[in-house]
Amino acid sequence: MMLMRLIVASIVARKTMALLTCFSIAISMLVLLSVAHIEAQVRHNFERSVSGVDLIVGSRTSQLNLLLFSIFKIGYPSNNLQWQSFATIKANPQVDWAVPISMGDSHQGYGVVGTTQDYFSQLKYADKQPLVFVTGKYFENDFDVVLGSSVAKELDYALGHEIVLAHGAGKVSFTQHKQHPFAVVGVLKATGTPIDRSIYIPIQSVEILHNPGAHQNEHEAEHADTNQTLSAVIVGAKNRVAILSLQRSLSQFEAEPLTAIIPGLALRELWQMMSTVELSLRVISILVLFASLIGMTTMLLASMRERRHELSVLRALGARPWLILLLVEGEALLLTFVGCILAYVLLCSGLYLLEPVLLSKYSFSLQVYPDGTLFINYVLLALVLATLLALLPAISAYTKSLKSGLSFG
Amino acid sequence: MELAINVSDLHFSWNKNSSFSLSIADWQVSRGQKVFLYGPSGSGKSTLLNLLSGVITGYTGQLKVLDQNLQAISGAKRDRFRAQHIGMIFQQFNLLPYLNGLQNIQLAQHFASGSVPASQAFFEQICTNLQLSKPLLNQAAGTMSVGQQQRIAVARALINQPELIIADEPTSALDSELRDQFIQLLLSTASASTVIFVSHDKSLAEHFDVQYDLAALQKANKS
Repeated sequence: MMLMRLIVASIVARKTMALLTCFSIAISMLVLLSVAHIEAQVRHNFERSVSGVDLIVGSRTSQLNLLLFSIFKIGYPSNNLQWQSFATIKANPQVDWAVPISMGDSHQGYGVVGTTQDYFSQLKYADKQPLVFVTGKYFENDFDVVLGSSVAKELDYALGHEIVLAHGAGKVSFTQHKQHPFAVVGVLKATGTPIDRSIYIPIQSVEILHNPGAHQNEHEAEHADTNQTLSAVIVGAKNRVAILSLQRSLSQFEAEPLTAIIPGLALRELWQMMSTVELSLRVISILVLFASLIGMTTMLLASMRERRHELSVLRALGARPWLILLLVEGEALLLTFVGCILAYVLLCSGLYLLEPVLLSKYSFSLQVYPDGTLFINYVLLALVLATLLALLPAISAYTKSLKSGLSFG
Repeated sequence: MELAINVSDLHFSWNKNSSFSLSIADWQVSRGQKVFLYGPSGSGKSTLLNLLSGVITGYTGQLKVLDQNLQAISGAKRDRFRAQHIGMIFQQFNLLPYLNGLQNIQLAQHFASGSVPASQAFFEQICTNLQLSKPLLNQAAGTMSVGQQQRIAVARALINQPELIIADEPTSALDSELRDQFIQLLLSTASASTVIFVSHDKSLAEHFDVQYDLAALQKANKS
């Protein structure tokens, strides 16, 4: 207790230096924690977006390209696949459900996804939670449109609002499909996944957009779905055991060359690609922490000069030499610990401010409070490093107090 | 007569290559004596005080402080011995500047824990003798005048009722008119203890029972 009181009082007496040291540790811990937290959050976000999807099938392309454009709306399909292929996949006895998606159009910069009603009943997010409509329901007619929650919020569209879709993915497009305004019939609840940032139309309407004449001609007949081309098919298998054999058989599809991927495995490939970047970020942030702790050691060493009398007085009063050692170590640990707490508070408030922006702009659902065990691990790392580095001034003060005796005038 | 300090054939040097060494052939101080020790800087004063207080060891010969051979006991026991039996007053910088007067005094009690705690009456008597008011006791030591600090330092040196008080030039930072007053205060408050008062100012010697010259003590050895 007396030790704690001495440490705190002594630090308070040298508050400018102590505060600066504390801030430097806080900033380095902030970097370390942010890197670790954001890394974990990115993984978590990607994984929550592919919940319940067993396979994604597209025309022959790379695993990552297929995964990124179909689920994350990053990049474009390199080729389309035929409607017939979709029909064949759906008919496969091992397939539980299959949802076609067709992409390529946009509205105000938001991607337009042509799909079927099954999309809303089969796709899941996070821990296999189903999609829910905040207002309205799924589309029934050709010119019905369903909005993701971010789209509705950002563009401020309500039910019945008429929108014009553009060809191409840019925000400004010259070929707007003005002949065919769509009406909003439903808005999805926020999921914190890329689902929020898309606009959904019936898949047959995609063809009508691009080929108005065809629409006129075949208006009376059943939709000529056979001519429809698709970007990808999202597949749920009847049982998990069948996924691998299903993937193999789809990759050897006869009618056209297809690629079938298991999202979890494709993500793992993505993480592997990112691992060098992650590693270097981690190494850099640990080095930053190391630098600020060395700064603290320097501060402690420098303060030993001005504390000469203070330590002499303590020894004269009967303090053991190891108390001197503990005073220095305790100061290092206290400064580091306060720095860590400060970093945690800064990180949480930063995330708190960032969270709504990320969610609405990027559909990135951010956990505001960093993972507890992660935080504790890094704090322990910092405390151990601080203890080791502070041994230098602590042992020097210890031996000095033991060998040189008291400094009499 | 019981001895507070008993030195014979004492020899100490800081390390083998050091040109400086301290040698005292024979020196005794009786208990209760008030001793003036003339010791200008460079005379080996620091070395002697470090040896007497048991902060450093490694000497040859005999050194007994309050009948205790300090070299014969462990470092921990020496530190405890110092806390309980020796009160020390420095030239200046006696107090931890970030604690208040009372906390500085309590610090001495903390390290001496195990000895009989000072009674409230004794504490109040010291405070009265040294003119330590409540506001002064609650004031941060760093903001006190040197005179005030030295009075707190005396109170701290006395609080554990030590048998031996070692004072190293406690008046050198004080004005000349305060000097005599301070010595009177110190000697009257510490009347029950042996006091070793080190100074380079020979005019202060008149206040004490006996005076020694540290240089002469050492010379006696060589002759």
